[in-house]
Amino acid sequence: MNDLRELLDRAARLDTDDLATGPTVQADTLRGRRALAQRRRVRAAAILGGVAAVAVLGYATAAPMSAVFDSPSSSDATTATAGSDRSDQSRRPGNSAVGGFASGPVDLAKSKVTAGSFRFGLAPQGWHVSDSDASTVMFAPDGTNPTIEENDFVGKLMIFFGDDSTQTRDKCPTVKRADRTFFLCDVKGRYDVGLDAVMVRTRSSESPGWITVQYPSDAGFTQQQLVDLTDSVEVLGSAAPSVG
Amino acid sequence: MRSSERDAEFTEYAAALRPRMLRAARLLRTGDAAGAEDLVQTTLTRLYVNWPKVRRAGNPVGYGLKALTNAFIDESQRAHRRREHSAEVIDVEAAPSESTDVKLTVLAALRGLPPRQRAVVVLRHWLDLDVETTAQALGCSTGTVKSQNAKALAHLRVCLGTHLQMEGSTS
Repeated sequence: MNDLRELLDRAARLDTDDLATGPTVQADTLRGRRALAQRRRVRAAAILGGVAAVAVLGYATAAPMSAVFDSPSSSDATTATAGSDRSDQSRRPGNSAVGGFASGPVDLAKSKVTAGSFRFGLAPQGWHVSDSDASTVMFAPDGTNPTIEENDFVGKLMIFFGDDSTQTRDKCPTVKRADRTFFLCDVKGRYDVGLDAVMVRTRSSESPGWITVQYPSDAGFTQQQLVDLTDSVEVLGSAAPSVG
Repeated sequence: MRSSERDAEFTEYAAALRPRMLRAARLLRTGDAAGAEDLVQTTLTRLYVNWPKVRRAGNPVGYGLKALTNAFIDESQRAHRRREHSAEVIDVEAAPSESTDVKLTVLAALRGLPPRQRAVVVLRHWLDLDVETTAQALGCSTGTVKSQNAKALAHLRVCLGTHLQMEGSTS
């Protein structure tokens, strides 16, 4: 019998050839140097492009103005052209302040969904329960490919019950509702996969612990909806805290 | 920072970390030696380019290993999009032995895990990172790490059967 660490260690064992690092590290350094040079070239090109764009924009702005001063007879035509461009832009879809936002807002509906060890007073429309156990429920958007994406937490709404003593909440903004405090936390860490979370202590009538609702930042939930949804979660007696 | 200074520091860092990175990559790529080497090269290139950040990191070794995991997840997402599964290849010694059997069994068990669960197993149980550090590395809540870890361990218990004694592996 072996513990998991030992088994993983055996599976990860390298051959003697793999341990010769000298020439390999030289090649790593060379690749890094090339990548850095490439990045600097791209940045320099972007800066030059930006300078050129500013120059063109400056010229485009200055040209009609100089036309106004230099040649009064041409001013009407110039102004008319500029006006026509502006109206074209204002009609173009996606040019508004909210244009281009990929996800639409999510609607919450009253619900009687019970999944795992949770009951939900509200549930997001267009999402379904894709997995659940005594400590976790996962909601996935309808149409998610179950064979490929069902076990991946990115892009999903996940509800956890646990002591969560290790989750840092000190810097999270809070929202108070009745006697409950909701923590709105950024859980992105070093690697941003677009997730945030709302956390709240369980009610005194429930098992002691924390409810965490982790959601995709770009799914379209409003802060109000997330607090409503989290507040509607009831932890049932069968709940078991997740352990790590 | 001068180029020669960067090269000297990076070379020393890469020489020390590379074998450990390669071993972690073998686990993440479930025994695919070529894929593991590619993953290490990609990661080290990123680390060289972002060398000032690596130097500032409180724990440069930990930073590098987390970067490796992140590169693996990036790669897995691209593989999903392309519907390619090159990690199916297992590269182990030709002559069967008891240790080869165990290695094959462990790698096959890891292959049955989705990429992020596999990453949780490697970070938590091979690199010995705590729940919070693992959550930071993967960009998720500690609850997610616990949940993914519990699912992964349940799978590994089934696949590894008598090879595995789980005491001390669940916390």
